[in-house]
Amino acid sequence: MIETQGVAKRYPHGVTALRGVDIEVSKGEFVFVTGPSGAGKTTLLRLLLRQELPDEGHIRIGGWDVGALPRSRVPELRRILGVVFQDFKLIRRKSALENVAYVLNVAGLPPAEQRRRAYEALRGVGLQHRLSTLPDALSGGEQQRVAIARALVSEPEILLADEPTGNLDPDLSVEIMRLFREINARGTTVVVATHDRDMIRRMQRRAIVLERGRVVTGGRPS
Amino acid sequence: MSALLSRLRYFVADAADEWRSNPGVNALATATLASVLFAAGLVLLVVDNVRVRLETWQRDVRVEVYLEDSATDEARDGIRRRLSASPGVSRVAFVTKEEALDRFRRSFGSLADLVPELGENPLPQSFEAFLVPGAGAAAAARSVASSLRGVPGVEDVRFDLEWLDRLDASLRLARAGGAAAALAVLSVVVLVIAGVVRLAVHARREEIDVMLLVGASPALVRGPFLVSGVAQGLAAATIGIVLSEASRRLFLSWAKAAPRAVVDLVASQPLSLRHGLLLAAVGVSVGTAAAWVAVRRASRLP
Repeated sequence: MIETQGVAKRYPHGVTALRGVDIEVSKGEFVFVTGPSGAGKTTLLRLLLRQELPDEGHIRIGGWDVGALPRSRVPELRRILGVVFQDFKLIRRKSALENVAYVLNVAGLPPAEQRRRAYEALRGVGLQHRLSTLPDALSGGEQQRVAIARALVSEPEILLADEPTGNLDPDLSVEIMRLFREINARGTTVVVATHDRDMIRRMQRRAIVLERGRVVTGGRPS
Repeated sequence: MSALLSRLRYFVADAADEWRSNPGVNALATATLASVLFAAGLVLLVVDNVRVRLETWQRDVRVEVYLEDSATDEARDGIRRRLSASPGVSRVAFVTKEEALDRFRRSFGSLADLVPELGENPLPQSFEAFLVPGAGAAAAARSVASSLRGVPGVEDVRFDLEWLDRLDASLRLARAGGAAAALAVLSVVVLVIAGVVRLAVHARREEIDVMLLVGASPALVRGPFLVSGVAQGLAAATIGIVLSEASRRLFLSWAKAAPRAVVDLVASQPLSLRHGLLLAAVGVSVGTAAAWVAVRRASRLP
């Protein structure tokens, strides 16, 4: 489902974020990408999302050659991915329902269908009673659940999450991971970048460990 | 078609939603554009009035052909035919001795008492050949005059060449001045509005990034901004035009004691439809262009 070969990413002033990264994630798998701060976790996810282009190597996602994808087709790639960020990245002027429905608007669904499915997604994360609330009036855990509902509402093939529990307390982190496990059980491939080793131990899933931009262990399924 | 309409509805609704959530930045952008268009409206108002006044004077430009008292009907008809056939002459009017005297009385009321003392009407009958307004009026006047001097029955031919030349020069200056003022105003508008819209886009930068990350195409992201730019341009142009007209009326009510000629020269006419439409077009174009320039870079994909 996801494969990278010899991926390298360098930034100006000589900073190398990734070098020779080879990873493989199978369809329906749940993997963690972990490592200390600055190991390259976020950079790897940014490359998968085509927020940036690799300086070397190839990235394939579900048959798409991400690096070679023309700019005009990047939105199509992103529509098969659901994304969750540490800082939630909700649109502040839109309600919870509107934030979730926006993904369906992007896909061109009729407004009534957008609202129906957004409501269902919010119900799935237990927030159906907060649908008209603006993000700033929601707690951190609620905002992250809205972000998860937004990531899942279009039933993506892959869910990418970058430190999704980084701003949450331990109880909420467990709750978010429970949601991810449910999503994965329904067939969605889940990739979670985190530095929380306790959580990885509890979840007992494969962990791709990065250090100084290199894959140390777990790059490919055993 | 319905998908297109649905998209358009979304653009309008999202632009309106964005206005409600960021009233300060949007009001600043609209007010800035409105104030510049208001200034442009005032300049155009004066240009319009000067042009109208000059054109009115130009329509009155004529060659006066004074006839001898002894001129026969046949000679008079010949002169009329010759004048009517002259290039650059729009119409010909005959002024009898009595009409000339009436005009004298109306124009020089204090001297009118002299007329009875003369015992006879000293003013000659004449033809007035009105010239087609425009840059060719002076040449036409010269041509008419030279073709009639010495013709039997013609006593004298007069026209104010200097006045004609000044009028032509003034009209050219008014048009060039208007164009230069419009260009200067437009440059300022573009610079100011691009800055203000860039500020608005900066405020929404994070939102734009989120939209792109969840799969929105750049066109979908840009749509509401462009609609917002069009709306800002229209609103600003409307405000600018309304303020220009209000200022004109205020000036008219304040300037009652000022010489009529001065008032007429700058404010007797409202902004012309052509210039009103020009302001609206500039407002919409600048609003849209500034939105496009500002959002284009922010919504570019890697």
